[in-house]
Amino acid sequence: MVRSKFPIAAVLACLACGVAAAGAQEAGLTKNSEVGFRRVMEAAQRGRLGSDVVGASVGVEADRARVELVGADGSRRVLLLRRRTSEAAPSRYFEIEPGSGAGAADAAALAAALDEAFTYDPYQVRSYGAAPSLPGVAEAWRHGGWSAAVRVLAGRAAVPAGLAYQVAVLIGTALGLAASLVVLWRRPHAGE
Amino acid sequence: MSGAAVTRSPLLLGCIVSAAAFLWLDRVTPAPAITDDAVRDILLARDCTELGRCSTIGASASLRGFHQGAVRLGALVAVRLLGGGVHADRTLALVLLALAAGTVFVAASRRLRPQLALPAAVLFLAGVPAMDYQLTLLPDVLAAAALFAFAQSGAARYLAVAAFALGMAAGVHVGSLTLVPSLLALAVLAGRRVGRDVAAAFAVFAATYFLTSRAAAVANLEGLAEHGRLLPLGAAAALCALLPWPLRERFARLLPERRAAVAGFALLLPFAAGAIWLTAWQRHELSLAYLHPVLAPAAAALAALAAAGFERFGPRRSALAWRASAVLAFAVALLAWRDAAQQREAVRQWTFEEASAVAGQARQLGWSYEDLVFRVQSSSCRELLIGMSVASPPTPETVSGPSTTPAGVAAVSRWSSEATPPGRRSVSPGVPARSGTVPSAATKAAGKQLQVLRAGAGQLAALPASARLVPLGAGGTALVREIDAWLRPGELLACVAAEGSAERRCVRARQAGGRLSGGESFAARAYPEVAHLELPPRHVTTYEVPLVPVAGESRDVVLAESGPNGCGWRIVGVEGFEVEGTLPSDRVRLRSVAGAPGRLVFERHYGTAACPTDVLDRRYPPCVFESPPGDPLWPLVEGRAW
Repeated sequence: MVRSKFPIAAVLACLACGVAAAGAQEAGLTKNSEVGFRRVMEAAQRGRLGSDVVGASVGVEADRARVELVGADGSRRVLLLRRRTSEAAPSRYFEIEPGSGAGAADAAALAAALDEAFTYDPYQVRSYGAAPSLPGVAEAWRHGGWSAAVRVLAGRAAVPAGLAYQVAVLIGTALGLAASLVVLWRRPHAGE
Repeated sequence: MSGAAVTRSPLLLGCIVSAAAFLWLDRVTPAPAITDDAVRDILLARDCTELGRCSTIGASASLRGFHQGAVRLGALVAVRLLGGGVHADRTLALVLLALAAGTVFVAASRRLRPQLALPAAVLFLAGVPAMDYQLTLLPDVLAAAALFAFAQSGAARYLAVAAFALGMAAGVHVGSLTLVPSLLALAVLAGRRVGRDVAAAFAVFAATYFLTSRAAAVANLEGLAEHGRLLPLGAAAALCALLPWPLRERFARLLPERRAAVAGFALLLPFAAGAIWLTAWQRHELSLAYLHPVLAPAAAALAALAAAGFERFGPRRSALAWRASAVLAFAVALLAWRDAAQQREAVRQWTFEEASAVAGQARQLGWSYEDLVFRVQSSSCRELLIGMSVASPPTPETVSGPSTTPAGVAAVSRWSSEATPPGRRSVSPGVPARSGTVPSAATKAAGKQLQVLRAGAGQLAALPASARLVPLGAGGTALVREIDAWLRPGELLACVAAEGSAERRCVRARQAGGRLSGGESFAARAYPEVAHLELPPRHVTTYEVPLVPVAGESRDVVLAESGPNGCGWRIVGVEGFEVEGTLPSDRVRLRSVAGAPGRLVFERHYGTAACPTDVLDRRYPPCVFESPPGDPLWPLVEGRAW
């Protein structure tokens, strides 16, 4: 048996390479956000977004969402959501901009409903080769501590890999499988 | 093949068993069926090989908060990089299964008893057709065999192999994670340097899992944290490590055969505990398909039990015991595979090869894949459509470069909480335009549809000139014909009502222009659906399909699919036409006097009192066939059992 520290070192190096290989990415609203938005719509139906609000519809595109509150009289009030960028944002994850027919009270009510509905960050990192939006790990650590750094690492890991990475993994796994078969099929050493 | 022969040359015999297993599997395994999961995976593989975007996460697991890994996707990518297709996928899967059977044989002969090798390998193969995740069987077997070897020898290389194989297996299906406690417990029991062995094994496992399925690894960690499972898991891991510790010396004094028995127990116990937790607490519908992590140890245990049973007849007959075990194992395997073959025959649909052949013909007629969505008239039309998506070339926008829209968003684009009052039909405004470079119009006119019909050799005599013949292999033929349809499914209104409720939720088809989606990826072709409506467990789905007729003409419309008794699609309403016959029905003849538009209403019950609950609402219009009276193809349609 090999008695060097090489395997663990190699594993750690591979992990680092895997993280570093993550390409550019951007955060957007994915299908995972559907559950949260449905909670907001249910809240609207229960009157939690105003006594005169009977329903809501939500449209999502990339990193933005459009919430339309439907009044009992059929009127419609529009609020636009985008990813939170300031500490002063009314919601934990969203900036809310009142649009057609909506006011500050609607925004406040929606903010409360969004905070209740989203127990997780609805923005998830996806990679499409351009527009990198995540900071580097060091930068994240400087600004947000270890939790921000971990979040950036996790975000980079969630990015789709490139073909070169995939080919390297395929070669590695094929070699690993072949080596495993050899180890298990060959005659055991004496005393084993 | 005697026990002595197995003892002398298990390697050679293992190779023979693998070769025989491959030949047998190749003979009895049918062509891959077109399923949503299979299509999605192949499309994701095309994303990787053709667009350079390789997913490192698989589908959501049935256990909430977990995702499958990307090892299966990797296998599909490898096949495509080597120039293969669906048939090569099948061959690779069979080669890996055959190697798994050979490994069971070799491991049983070396680590248990030579006489058990063949029965164990055959019983393992008997369990294969019941498994859903067959690609995970080789790494599962490697892990189990390595743990048996480690338990008997304490050699760290076996633990490293087990950890690597477990990382691979978990990258196919998260169920294999149930072997991690076994690995931990055996590492403590049999390890020579426990701390170093466990650390190395964990590093190998984590690295393998992370490198092959890094997005799944992150998502699963987040899922564990979100569901508050990290602490219980940590406690369970500590228990697995601490409980065996006082037994180390005792374990070391055991005979190798006893150690193997303990290893088998250690492999089966955590899985059994996990199964009980899943069914009792998580209300998971656990089935035989999830037994893959313990299939090999269970096969070995059954073989040992059978041999022990035969040996009870007396020492003189013990030489025959293993032969009787082998015969019994073969009988079980034959019965299992025959049963599986009968079940597959009963649900025969289109195959990928057939769908590919039809897609080629459609391309010659000028149809792109996106044009075909909702506009294929055939039996199992949705399966045929998604099967065709695998072979269809990219649309221009797919290869033009990355989209600005994250994957998944396209399927989310709009939800509405507004309820439709009884009696009021249309509520939801149209679906907003998607971002990216989505063409707004189909290349095929809205009224065009493509009809595809299977035909036997004797049914090809009187064909219309417009029909093309497509050989399907094995003597089958498909008739492909473009028609000017009256039905406009791309503009339908979809409604869902909970059972017993008059309140309906409705939405217009999301594909008003005829194209399904933008060019985010090939994977966007997976799961075509007419509308994303929330589906209560027991509900009634209604599709109101506009009709654009020709004045003075008639048209027959027949449902090209059947369902459970009284629970399939039915035509329940016609507006704007004279109708011959009564409704509800599975067919209707429409006659248009003035050519005014109308609509046809289809309805289906899901999970309601009289209908089974295991039929999924695919959010896709029913398969129909329409033709003018006197159509030469009608005899192929009339009276057909769909």
